[in-house]
Amino acid sequence: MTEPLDPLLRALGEVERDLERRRPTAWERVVAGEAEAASVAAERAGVDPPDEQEVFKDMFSRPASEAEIEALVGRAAATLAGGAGAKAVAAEVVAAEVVPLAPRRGRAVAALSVVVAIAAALVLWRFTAVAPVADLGVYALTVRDDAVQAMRSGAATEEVRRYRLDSEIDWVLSPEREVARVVDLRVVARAAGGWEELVVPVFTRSPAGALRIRGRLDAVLPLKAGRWQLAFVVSAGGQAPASAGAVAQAVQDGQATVLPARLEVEVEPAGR
Amino acid sequence: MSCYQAASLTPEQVQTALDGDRAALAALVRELLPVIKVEVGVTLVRRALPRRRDPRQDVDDFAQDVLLHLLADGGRLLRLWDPARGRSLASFVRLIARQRVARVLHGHRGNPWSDEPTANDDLEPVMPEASRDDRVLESREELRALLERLRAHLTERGLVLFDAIYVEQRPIAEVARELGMTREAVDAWNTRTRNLARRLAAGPAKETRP
Repeated sequence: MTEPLDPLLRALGEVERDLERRRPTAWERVVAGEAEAASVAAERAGVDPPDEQEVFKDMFSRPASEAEIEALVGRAAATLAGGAGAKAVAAEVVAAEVVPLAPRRGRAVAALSVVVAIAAALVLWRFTAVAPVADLGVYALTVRDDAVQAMRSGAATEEVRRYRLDSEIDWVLSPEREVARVVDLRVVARAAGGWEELVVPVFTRSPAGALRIRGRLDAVLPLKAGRWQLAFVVSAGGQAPASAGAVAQAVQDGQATVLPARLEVEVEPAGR
Repeated sequence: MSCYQAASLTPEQVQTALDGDRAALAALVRELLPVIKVEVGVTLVRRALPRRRDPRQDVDDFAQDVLLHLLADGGRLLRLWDPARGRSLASFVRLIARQRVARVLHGHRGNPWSDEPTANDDLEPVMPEASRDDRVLESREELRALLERLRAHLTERGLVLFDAIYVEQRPIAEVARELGMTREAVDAWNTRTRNLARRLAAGPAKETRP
């Protein structure tokens, strides 16, 4: 026996058709820079309610700038490369762990690496233990996915949050006071073995300056499965450190601040 | 009236962009951004104005979210686009954008890749069916709100099924054949979605933004 078409769903289908008919796709040409807002507004006059028309005109009249497009393409590329990027990082970690070094030179390099790592960690710790620099102020980290848990600056946490690569995450970095200026956000991901990687997250910024990393984990934060300690680095726009090793200098130069709160995460492969 | 032609990109060009070609990706972003921004903007405006809210500051955030959603997981969603099924690229992207915005607005965090419409679709309705349907069917506003909530709960496949069967009003057999489903599978989806719609109609709307 086959199911008849449901009256409620049919009514919803009719509503959708009506919305489709009234959809003002003509504004797409304005956003694309192919038409003037005034001409589309005139075209839609009498079709869209005046209050909608007014907001559409304001909202769509400015085509995206080249800089905005470039920034979006960069984020799009980062999102697309999420899986591959994480694989590359993992390959580097594996290589660091299993590739044998020449005996004497290897010991020297290993010892030097340990010294450098300890020094970097000390410098990073030193600058995260003191008050943030510059005018960026203090940020609080709030994890809004699953259970809401706020970790105020300076608070220590031992909790490990478990995610899958396809988990939806929602992390908000809220400034203590409004931050009007453009900022960049980076995440230092520290593996269990002490190796660190600077990760570029996909984030949005509210008018008040709150930064939000929200979306599917592997799309907004290219991490490989494994255990990571995450530190969040906020810098002035265009002055983000280029590597994990450059974070301490950026902090020292007053160009960046690191949230004292760390996030311990255990990332598992995506479910099927 | 001429329309913006985001559909000028071919599936091969989209594929090239998703495979990591920077120039092709830039072209794709340029093509899709106007479509996404207008779809998101219209949805937010029509939702916000009756509530006397101003959605303008949210549009760019939502547009970026939708774009990255389309590209997540190696562009899995965009790779589903097949012009042979009758939708242009722009139309397909509008469909996904509408659903994504609904999901965000309703705080839905289900697995978007699940084949099931919802984990709770077997729940019994809490109101007598006739009185509930009457109440909803009498109000255009309630129908619009219900449609948005339903979109938030449907999977991509469910969205395509709903669109083909109830919006485009195409024969079920044809839709089933096109999607590689049996008639029984479509009927089962129909039953689950009908129950889901009634459950959503019976419950209060969960609204988060804007």
